[in-house]
Amino acid sequence: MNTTEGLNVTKRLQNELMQLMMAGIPGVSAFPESDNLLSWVGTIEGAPGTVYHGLSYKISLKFPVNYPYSAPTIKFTTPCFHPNVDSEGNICLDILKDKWSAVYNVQTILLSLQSLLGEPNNDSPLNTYAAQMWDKPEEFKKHVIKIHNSAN
Amino acid sequence: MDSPKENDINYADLTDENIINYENLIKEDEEKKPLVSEYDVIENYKVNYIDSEIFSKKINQLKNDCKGYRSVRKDGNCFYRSFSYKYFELINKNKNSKWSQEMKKIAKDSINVLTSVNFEKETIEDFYDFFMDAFDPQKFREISFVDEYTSNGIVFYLRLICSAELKINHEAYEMFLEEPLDSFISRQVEPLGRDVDNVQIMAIVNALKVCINIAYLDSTNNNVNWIKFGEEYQKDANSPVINLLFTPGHYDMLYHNDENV
Repeated sequence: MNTTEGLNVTKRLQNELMQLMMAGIPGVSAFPESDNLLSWVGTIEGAPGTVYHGLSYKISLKFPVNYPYSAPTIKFTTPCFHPNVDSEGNICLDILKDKWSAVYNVQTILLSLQSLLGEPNNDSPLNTYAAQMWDKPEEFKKHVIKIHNSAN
Repeated sequence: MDSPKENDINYADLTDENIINYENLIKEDEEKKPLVSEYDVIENYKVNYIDSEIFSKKINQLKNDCKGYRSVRKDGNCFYRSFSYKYFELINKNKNSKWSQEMKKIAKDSINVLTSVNFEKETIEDFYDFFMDAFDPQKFREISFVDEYTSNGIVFYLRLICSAELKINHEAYEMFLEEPLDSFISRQVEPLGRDVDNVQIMAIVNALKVCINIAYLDSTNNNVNWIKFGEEYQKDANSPVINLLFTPGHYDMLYHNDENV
């Protein structure tokens, strides 16, 4: 890492942390894992009215040194039964891949993930089993809870 | 490691894996190069293509109009990087001229244009600062196109300027697009590393009110083809023009014979 680059990304992430804490958005949060500002842990609560309501998911956020010009790598660390999340916690979401833009930030990512939970993109599933079951909410919810609790 | 030479490539054995390996070699090689090269005379310009005889003939033709060039890194941002370097260089060279003052005023106002299409000021301010800093000749020389983070910030800000212009005057551009404007912007304009099409060039020209003249070198037998974008912004023969060179898949900068280097 070149020094200016390291300083720039640090400054950017410190600002984001500050903004995020001041905004205090209900249902989502994120904080650096340790004194390494390039690695954060986030929490997303399932929104009311969705099958994920009442459940809380941990995610990991790894920022590259050229963040925000490249997207961070985001994974669910709590097991998540969802059409666009695979069994390793990898996520298929366009804004984290080919539609990434440097105007996005941690807050946008957290909110996008929260809405992805309730509104999956069933056209490009990573978990086809979950995608097929999406139309049967009761059965789907049972799976969601079972998988979520398998972590404990 | 060097990028593969023409005779290193075994064409009988071009599997997907081999192609990816060659691509990665070329990419690694590119990443070692500076973002913007030193000025060099046009005779030394190299086109990395197989049919080089035709290209050297065309470089020879270019000598009638141009004396030199600078290359930029091949990372999908080449148009934005070439354009912005030349733009700041021309403005800073004669910073008290009427043209330079006009250009600076447009650049300064650009943040208001961007916020008018709903970019949040707090989100774009850092990029705006990187862009405006390049009007300081010392920062331009030492940081703006030397430090990768800063340079990418400038490239990104130019992408946002392009994006805002496409949104504001969408009726002028939509007819050239094969997909909805929003999708075009989020796929082809805002992400770093995406090449330009003529639509993006037109939008930048119109947003910054600047004239770009591009020499197109291709592998046909035709002569070098120059295309001017934004001729209406070249108010008189003395208004600076941004001269660029296009070879298949890549943009670099050109220096006209009557330009001071």
